[in-house]
Amino acid sequence: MKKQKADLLQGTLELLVLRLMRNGRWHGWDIMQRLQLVSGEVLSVTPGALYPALHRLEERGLISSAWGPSENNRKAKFYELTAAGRKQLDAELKEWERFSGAVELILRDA
Amino acid sequence: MLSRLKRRWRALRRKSELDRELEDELQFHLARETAQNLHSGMSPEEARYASMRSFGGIEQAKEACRDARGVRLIEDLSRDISYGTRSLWKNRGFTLVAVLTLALGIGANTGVFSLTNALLLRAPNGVSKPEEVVIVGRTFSGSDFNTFSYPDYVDCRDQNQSFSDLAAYREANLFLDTGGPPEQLSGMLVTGNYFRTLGTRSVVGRLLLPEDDGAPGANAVALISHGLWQRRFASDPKIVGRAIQVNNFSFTIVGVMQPDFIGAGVAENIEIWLPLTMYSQANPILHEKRLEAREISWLNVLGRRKPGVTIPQAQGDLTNISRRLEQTYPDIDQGLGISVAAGLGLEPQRRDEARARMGILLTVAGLVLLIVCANVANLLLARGATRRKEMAVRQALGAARTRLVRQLLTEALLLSTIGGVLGMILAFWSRGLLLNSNFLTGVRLSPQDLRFDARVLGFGLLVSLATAVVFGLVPAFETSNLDLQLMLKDRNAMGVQRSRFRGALVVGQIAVSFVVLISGGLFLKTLRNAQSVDPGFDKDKILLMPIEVGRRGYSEAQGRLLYQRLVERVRGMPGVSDASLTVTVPLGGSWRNGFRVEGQPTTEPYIPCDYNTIAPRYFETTGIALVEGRDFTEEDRANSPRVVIVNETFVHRFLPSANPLGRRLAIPLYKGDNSYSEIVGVAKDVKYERLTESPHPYFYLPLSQQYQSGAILTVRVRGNDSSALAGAVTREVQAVDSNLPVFRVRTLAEQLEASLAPQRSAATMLGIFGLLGLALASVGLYGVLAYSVRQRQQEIGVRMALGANARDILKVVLRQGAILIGGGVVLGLSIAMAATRALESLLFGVSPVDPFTYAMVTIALVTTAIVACYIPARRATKVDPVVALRLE
Repeated sequence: MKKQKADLLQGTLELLVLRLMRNGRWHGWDIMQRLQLVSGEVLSVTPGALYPALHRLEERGLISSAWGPSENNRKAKFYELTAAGRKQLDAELKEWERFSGAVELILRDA
Repeated sequence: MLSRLKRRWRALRRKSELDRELEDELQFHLARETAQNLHSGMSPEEARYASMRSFGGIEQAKEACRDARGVRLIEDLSRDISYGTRSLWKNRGFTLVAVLTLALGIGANTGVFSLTNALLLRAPNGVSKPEEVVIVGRTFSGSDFNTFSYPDYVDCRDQNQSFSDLAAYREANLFLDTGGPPEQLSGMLVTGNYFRTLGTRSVVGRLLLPEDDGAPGANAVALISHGLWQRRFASDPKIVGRAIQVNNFSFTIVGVMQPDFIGAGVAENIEIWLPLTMYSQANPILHEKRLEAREISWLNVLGRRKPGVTIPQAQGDLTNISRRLEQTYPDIDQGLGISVAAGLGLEPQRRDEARARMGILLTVAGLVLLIVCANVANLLLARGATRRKEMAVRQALGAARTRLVRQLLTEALLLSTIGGVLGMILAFWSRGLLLNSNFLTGVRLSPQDLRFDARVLGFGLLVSLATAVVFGLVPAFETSNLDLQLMLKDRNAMGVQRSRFRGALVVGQIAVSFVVLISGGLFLKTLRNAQSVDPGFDKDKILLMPIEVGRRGYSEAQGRLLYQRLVERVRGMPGVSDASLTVTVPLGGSWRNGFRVEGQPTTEPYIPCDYNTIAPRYFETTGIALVEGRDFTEEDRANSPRVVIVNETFVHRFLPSANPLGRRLAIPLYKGDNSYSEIVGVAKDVKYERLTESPHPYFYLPLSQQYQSGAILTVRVRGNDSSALAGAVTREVQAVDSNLPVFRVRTLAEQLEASLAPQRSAATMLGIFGLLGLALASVGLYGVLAYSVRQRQQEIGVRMALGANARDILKVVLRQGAILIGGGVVLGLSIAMAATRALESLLFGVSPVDPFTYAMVTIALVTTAIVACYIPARRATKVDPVVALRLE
């Protein structure tokens, strides 16, 4: 039971991360900040969850990483979407829209 | 090899690189967060702490990131191994005890398995598609697995439809003379299709071929083994065409066998193969005209089934042929059948015997291994108790429970692997010991036969792995089970649960050692009983010396003369009271033929019966009493009326009503000769093959009427020390013919001891295993009680403070021990009662539930166990109440 819930969260987190990365290369701290900012401070994620998710996505070949200088000129690890990641994101977005549309319909009319 | 090492190295390098990158990445995150905090006005100190606080557990995050990478498993394994090695090294005492214990257990199993492999499992090297090959034997009245006569073999070979080839062979002892001292070798006489049947090849020259089956004596060619080629001929590539002297006859070498083929049977080491048609030149012991004589059975047969032909089909095919043979040659082949047995190796009866004995040995070795597992598990549990802090730290640093279990299991695997390797070395070393305990009479295995091939090594490895799981799993889960709350609140509750499990292990250990000790005790008693059996002759006064006149090319007439001179000379020696000859060594096995009493209808089958061939005065020499009639004499010549002497059981069973003397028997051994043999005497029953056998019918034939070119000179000495005369007898035989091969002179007492080898080996093995098990169980018992005393120190302190004296405390601890011992004994008793029934057929004069043995073992075991309990109990009485209470 506990595990199922964790999986769901993990999946959702991965979708959000992929979507955030559609426009550009980001390092981990950036992604965390943007996630908080874009969701209007509703959603927050801990580094303990974010970094494993990034490594998992990289392992699956959906994002790639490279070291480069950060905005304050320190060495940081940047991630960007790969072609496979873009395809995966499109597919998952469609799936999400279908799903959330269905949920919305039920919530409104049922 | 090198490239593999390189790849490993790169993987390891990559791993540390990835770890460094991960560290950098997270450090950057912290730095960035700290910078942000500074920006929003915190002090540097505050900013750093805040960033770390918001981050959470850095090590946990790292672990989770590593988990996200696919290569985790291998990385972890190498880390676990290096960590495990370090941890085992730190606890050298523990490691040493565990590894040695495991080595004993795994070694015992591997050793027994290597024996099983040699006897039952291994197909001989060099044979192609060994699953298609079968051995074929002649049955007499539906039982046994005997040899073929050459004409019968040829009929089967030519008339069958099931075999692509059917080959005959016969082992022969050969003397090879290449200048220098003659060397005794094992040789094999084979038909020309023998190697085609087996599918072997030669490395130099050619094999023996069907063309070599010419007229008797016409094809003096020889194929030699690779080993002989290297040893005697320095691997000479131009060996083909060279002449060698084998048993004083010149043979030409035509080829060298492939290196790995040294015979198709169990424990064979054949060095020369000769055409079967050369039997008379190769081995003059065999009579002339063997290739025509349907009545002489002397050949082993093996065949290769055609593809798709099953064993029952092949059996049916050959049975039809044997029926035809019975009809065509009723006075020779009547009652004879044919039996097909799968695979090469032991004959079917031998196989069954070997399977039963190996089954018992493997079971016992397995039980010992179980005790070993219980003991190591116990050690690990005790060690686990002291490692919980370490486990707690590792868990706090982000290691999941499964990781801890994996780590602990890796350590268990390390232990069992080291123990397994040591054990296999141990088993390899003690091969001689295993072989000394001759399990199957008649199969002479040498250390080379106990090859540690892939199957044996694989078995050893598998046992090691299984062992690790058995002894490691429970302790691993126990040790890593860190309920911090429970640990803090109620340490003792955990302790009780743990020691209950350890107690159960000890009960199991005691029970198993009890069963093994009982079995050992039963065999010991069997051995004692067998030794006290009266064999029926004077074992201490008799010397035995094999004489093989045929080996030096003596004709029958020359052989008879030599026999006579030998016996006369030895009889004249001082200290010798009598001498005679026998073909079968007393208690060394028997020959079997059959008979039909005169007057019985000839349509009835012959009755199978064991027999021996002897010279006159054999009964006086060995001290077997003649009950009725007379002994064979010099007057019973080859051409005088045939005579036979039977034993009491023979008379009892087959001629109960009338006076046996003068009755006549038809004995199929004398085929082609229709005269009957007259019973001239009745001898007392003795033991013929085993001391433990029950009386059975037996008859004796005179050597003069059933000439054999090999016999055993039997000498009766005057004093009671026969061995003192051994040297003198050897010299006397040499004086008659210095060319006779010299064999060691044995006393009959030695022969008797040798016949008890299976019982002795069983008693020794079970005794060793049982004592080993008992020792291990005692250590386990000691461990459990010592641990429990340490756990209950406070309780004991309180009791003492409340006025309990040393006696009371002793009683408390001993009671705990007594419960374990009692449980073990009761469990062992009930298992032993059921299990020892399986041994019944191997026991002699002792019931599988012999009360004496059970009582002795119980007393010995309980005494040992109580000693093991007493040490921790004494220690408990030394507890200082003040110190104990201060611990609160």
